[in-house]
Amino acid sequence: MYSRRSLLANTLNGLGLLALTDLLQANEDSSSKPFAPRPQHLPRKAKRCIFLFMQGGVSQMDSFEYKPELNRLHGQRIPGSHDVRGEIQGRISHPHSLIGSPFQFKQYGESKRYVSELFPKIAGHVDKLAFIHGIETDNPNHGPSTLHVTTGSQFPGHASVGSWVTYGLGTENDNMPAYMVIQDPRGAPVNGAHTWGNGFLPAAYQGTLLRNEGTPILNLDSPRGVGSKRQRGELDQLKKLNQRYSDRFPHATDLEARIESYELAYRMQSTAPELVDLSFEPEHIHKLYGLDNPKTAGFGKQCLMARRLAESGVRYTMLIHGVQIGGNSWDHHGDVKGRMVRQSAEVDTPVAALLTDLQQRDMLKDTLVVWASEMGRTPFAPGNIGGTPGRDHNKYGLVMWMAGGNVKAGTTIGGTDDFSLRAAEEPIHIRNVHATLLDLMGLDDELLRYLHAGRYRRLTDIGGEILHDMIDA
Amino acid sequence: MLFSRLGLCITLSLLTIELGAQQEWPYSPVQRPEIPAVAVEDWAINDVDRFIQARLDSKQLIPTQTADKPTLVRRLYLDLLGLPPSPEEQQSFLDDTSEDAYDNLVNRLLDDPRYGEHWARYWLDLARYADTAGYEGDPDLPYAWRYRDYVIDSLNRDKPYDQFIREQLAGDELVDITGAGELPNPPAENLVALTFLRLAPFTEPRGDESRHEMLSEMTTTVSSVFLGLTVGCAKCHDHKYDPIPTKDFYRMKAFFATVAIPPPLRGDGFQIGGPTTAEFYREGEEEAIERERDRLNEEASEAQQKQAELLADFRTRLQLNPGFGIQAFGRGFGNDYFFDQFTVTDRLPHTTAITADNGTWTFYTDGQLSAEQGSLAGANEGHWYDGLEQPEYVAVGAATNGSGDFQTAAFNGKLAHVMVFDRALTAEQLNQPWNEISKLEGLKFWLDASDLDANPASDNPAVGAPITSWRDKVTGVELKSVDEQRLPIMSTLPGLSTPAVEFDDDFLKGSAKQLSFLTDELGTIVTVFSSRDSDESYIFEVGGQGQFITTFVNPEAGGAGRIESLIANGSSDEISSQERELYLDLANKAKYLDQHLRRLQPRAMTLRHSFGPPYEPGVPTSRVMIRGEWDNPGEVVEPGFLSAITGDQDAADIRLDTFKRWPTRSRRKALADWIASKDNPLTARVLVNRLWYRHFGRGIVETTSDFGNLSGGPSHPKLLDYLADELMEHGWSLKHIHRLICNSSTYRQQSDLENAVAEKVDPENVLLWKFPIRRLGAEVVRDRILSASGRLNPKSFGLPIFPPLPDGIEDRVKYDNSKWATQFGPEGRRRSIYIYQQRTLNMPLLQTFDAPVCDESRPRRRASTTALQALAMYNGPLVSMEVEPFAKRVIQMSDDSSESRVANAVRLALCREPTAQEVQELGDYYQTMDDEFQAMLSIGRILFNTSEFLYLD
Repeated sequence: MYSRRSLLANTLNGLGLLALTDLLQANEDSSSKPFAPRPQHLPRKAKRCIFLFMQGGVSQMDSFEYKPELNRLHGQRIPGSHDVRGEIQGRISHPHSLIGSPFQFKQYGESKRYVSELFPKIAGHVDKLAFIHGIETDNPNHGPSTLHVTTGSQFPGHASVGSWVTYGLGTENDNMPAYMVIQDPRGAPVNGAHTWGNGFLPAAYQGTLLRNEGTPILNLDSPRGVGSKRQRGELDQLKKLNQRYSDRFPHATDLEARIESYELAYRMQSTAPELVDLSFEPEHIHKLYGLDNPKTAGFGKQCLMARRLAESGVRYTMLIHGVQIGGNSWDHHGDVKGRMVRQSAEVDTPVAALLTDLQQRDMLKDTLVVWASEMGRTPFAPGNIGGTPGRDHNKYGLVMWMAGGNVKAGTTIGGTDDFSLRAAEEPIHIRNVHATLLDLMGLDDELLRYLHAGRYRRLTDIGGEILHDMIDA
Repeated sequence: MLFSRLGLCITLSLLTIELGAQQEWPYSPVQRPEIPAVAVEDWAINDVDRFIQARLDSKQLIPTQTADKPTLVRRLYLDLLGLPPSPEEQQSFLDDTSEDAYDNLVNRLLDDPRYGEHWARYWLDLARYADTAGYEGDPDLPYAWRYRDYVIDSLNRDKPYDQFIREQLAGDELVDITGAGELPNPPAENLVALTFLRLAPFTEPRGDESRHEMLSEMTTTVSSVFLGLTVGCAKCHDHKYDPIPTKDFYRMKAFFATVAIPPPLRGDGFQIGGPTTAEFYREGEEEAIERERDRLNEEASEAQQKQAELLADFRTRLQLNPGFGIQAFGRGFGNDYFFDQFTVTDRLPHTTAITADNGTWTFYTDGQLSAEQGSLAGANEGHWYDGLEQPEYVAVGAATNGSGDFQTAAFNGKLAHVMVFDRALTAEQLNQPWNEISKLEGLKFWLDASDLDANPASDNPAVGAPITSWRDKVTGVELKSVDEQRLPIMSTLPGLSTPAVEFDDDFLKGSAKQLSFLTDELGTIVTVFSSRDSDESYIFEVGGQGQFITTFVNPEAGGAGRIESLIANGSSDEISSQERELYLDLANKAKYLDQHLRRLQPRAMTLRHSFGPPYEPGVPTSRVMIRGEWDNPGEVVEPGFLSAITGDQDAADIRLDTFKRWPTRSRRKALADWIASKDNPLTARVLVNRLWYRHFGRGIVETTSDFGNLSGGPSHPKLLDYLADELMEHGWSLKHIHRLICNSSTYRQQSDLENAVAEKVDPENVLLWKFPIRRLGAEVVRDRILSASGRLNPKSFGLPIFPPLPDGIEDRVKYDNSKWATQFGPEGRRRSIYIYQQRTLNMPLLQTFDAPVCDESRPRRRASTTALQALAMYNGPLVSMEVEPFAKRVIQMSDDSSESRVANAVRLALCREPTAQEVQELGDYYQTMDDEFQAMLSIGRILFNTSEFLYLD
């Protein structure tokens, strides 16, 4: 039997098909409706995705990977040989000491999964989650690895996951952008807007930043001194002019679309502020997300906002916790014991609340929730342990989880060795995770593509293997 | 279209790579085609038209009539200059009834220096031009802008394209070496041109891996830009659609193997490389740069004074009282402060105190609980301070930016007196006079002052000498250092000759362990300030891990930069937006002076060939890298040209200097010569196709950087060859091709004619039976707004500009300090080509209209239509700002009637006569408003938002 890929690549028919899809794609681009809802390639329940990105590199062995052997060998060198490359190899060959997790792990839920004491509330949802361990990216630095997880390539210029998803599915809410981003109120992540960039996809597919000050979307307020009556009056005049211009070019659909875009913008001016106005939410919801606690209020607002956006039909929302690198990120090179406490306390309640809230609104069934960071961390520190040791970057040890939609709850994919250093068996490349994410959104990694610079580009570039074991379909 | 594509696909041979594919298009040689016969003779103006017409004939289609003169002049200006014609420019063409009026206009526009400023943008997209390196921190590339000027200048001078190629690929290797003497210095212009090879985003050098990726990127970009082939696809495996084997990728890459990147400047280790010296070479450039330097210096020093005056004025108007503050900054803290309004110019000492008692932090000013006096920042419960677990430093007169790195802070201290106690002090204790508080036993006791008598027993020691004791002249208090190992030194206040005791930033570092109350949750810091005059400011700080708490007094700023923030966020009605912008502009002039001056050094981000043995590495062995992996070497390869074109995989002939003294030299020259050759089947075709694409919005080959099998082939293959041949036969002159295209009947066609038959046969207008309308590029949209308002600053060349961004988004993407030196004045209103291309920050307006900040070569831009564009144009700051001068301009041009004003507004904004209906309708609307100026603003906003304003028709 031929795989679809080989057919595409090797047969004349395939080539004809390619050219034809290219044509379709070209039409789609020039089409004035980049966000018209489009059918899924696969029957999947998820209608929308909330992607939680933890900037800095979350320590897997202090969060979701229980490693008693690591704890036992605390202070010693790592035993055995380890097939790792690059800087980690360099560090293993130098004096180093293993650092056990300073945190207690307990078993939770029916799945009896171990979770660190830092995440007691997320742990309460553990049976809904599917974990992926030992995920590998191509680069152990924040800039490239953040891009790798958020755009599928360690190099800038590629389209982010949300761009691909909205390119594939369009949106169901015309009054809001299809792809929203809420960054940490304290600042931007590494790479700034590249993290939610459209790359080579049309600019319409870039993420729209939901601002935490001023209007929720840039340029949402009418010009100073222009009330709504005057605005309506101006827009009516504008519409007449634009309609006449459009009539001169009856086949230029983009001119029609431009007329419509002003109406949409006008609607957005009233819907967007309402959508992000959390005073519509009752007291107990505020409490649930931890808005009453200064520690959790920041990410709590982000999570609650994400739920409201999801409810209104926004297709893809990315939340970022942590800024650049340093004290307000998960980049715990020093004092992992002290600092993990701080970061985890900021997100545990909000993330758990999001899961609870989606569940109680019966939205978890069609909302894919993804938790990610850009990489994992090393189980050791250079030299002997003194003071308050931290952990370095580990591009072999990223842990992620997903929930909702067709995610097979309570499953675990992959696994790391006794030290959380790298995958115990086959490493799972991030592109496999991306292919799986697309699948869970009903998109076929092989069909979701875009001709750019001589190649059909995909989120996974060369293609990823779907992690079928975590899909319940 | 559909047929031609499918047709081509069916004729494709199997995908096995056969050498000798060069006989097939696009690898076949360019041949000057015969000019085709056409059915109707009098339509064609030049041969371009005959090729177009022949295709139309074959489908029994007829072209459209010539557009009217106002349309043509608008089209030519927008297309060739990227700017609308001014009313005078337009009129002079309309008045010119001579036969060659049109041709003369084309020539005039091609000679206009604004031509280069427009068309350079297209080349910069191809060259993935940016002013920063991307990634973490997105470091500045301070000399990249010189390449942008090189491109503008080259286009304006109509530099032959073959030379343009050679300079960018091998500018360092072009001078022939005939003797055994020294290496000649390449001309500065060539060094700047070589920036082309270095514009890809890279930071954090990682040895061989970085080099592999950099050279691979060069190979990919050079092949796609100059040859229109996606050679990069063959990096990891044989090309899936085109006859480009992986081996060819590495044979091409081998041409770059002897490249040497200058090392980064000290302190720039994050950068992949550094600059070298490259003098300013254009005529008058050196002088212009000199003037620019003087101007910047002058403006910065003037700005500081003007800014101070303005600030004083604001303060009077806002009636802000100066005050004390206690502030928490940094990571776990958020950014919050107490601010107490006090009159602190009473020449009396005042105290601020932070005291901790079992986890609760309390704040006092002059012994009174600050919380009761209110906080500007809302609810303060002391919670932010619980993050400060292990202070790493205690410092006087310094601040950090939240990262833990010290920065110079305003510290004009006359008296800053700091006491640290290992217990919580009571309100009663804190309410005592400061000298009484000082008698309470504390852990540390420091004083910093400028009005002092160092070593009171003798004369002040020399600047730089250590001081063991000092006396404050104001209070008479005499103090001694408690730690002989850590003596302050004699100094002067920054920039002044006033004596001061200087405590190094980390003077108290090391004593932090003794400040254990900060973790033990018990303790007090009391800071005492004098308040002799209005320009004092003090900071005392405890911090660590990028977070800190400070106490300070800053009478001038009104405490904690409150007035600054009122200005910055524009929330005060007392300060007009013009005043606000003037103030911010002045502030930035001084703040960013160094950054601007650094960019004006005569340097270029260039590269050169390695000098080879015995000085530097010689010619390395080049290999195929299996699967494109940097550490997976395969078979050895020699530098060689693409076999799809040459028909073989032989090594290229690399001509070394006579004495073989520089074996590493001439590789890129060999490649450049091969590309910039009339025998190369692709170079000229690709370039003329790019020009065609920019003129008509669609290339003869649609995928302008990919002439391979996925391109669908050319819609007019003979026309493509004709133009390619014309290019080469006319000295590789781009302007010759522009002229051919713009003078053609094809180009002059009307765009809005209905032709039902043609619409059916060729709905995409591939055959050009009418002129295709298209949305203007983002840069043209911005420049057009500024042109209409009359505020576009026409200054050419030089430093990048930083137009205002909405709502301080530059601060939200900054890594450390913002690089975006916002210019509210005329500098910020120069043409869009000069806008700083920051890879992590694309100007929202430009981004919305599909302008990328390039990370990789961008051969085409999409033209999307989104609601965000509508928001940006209707609500956004640029239109809101420019519509006012536009309205004034219109009023000035017009009489008092609404008809006259509406008519002139249409003329100015849309570059055409208004219709009677428009005058009527907009006039009626104008009349509905009471305020004539407001009515004019509405008209302006409406016109700027029309589709017509955004389209070239």
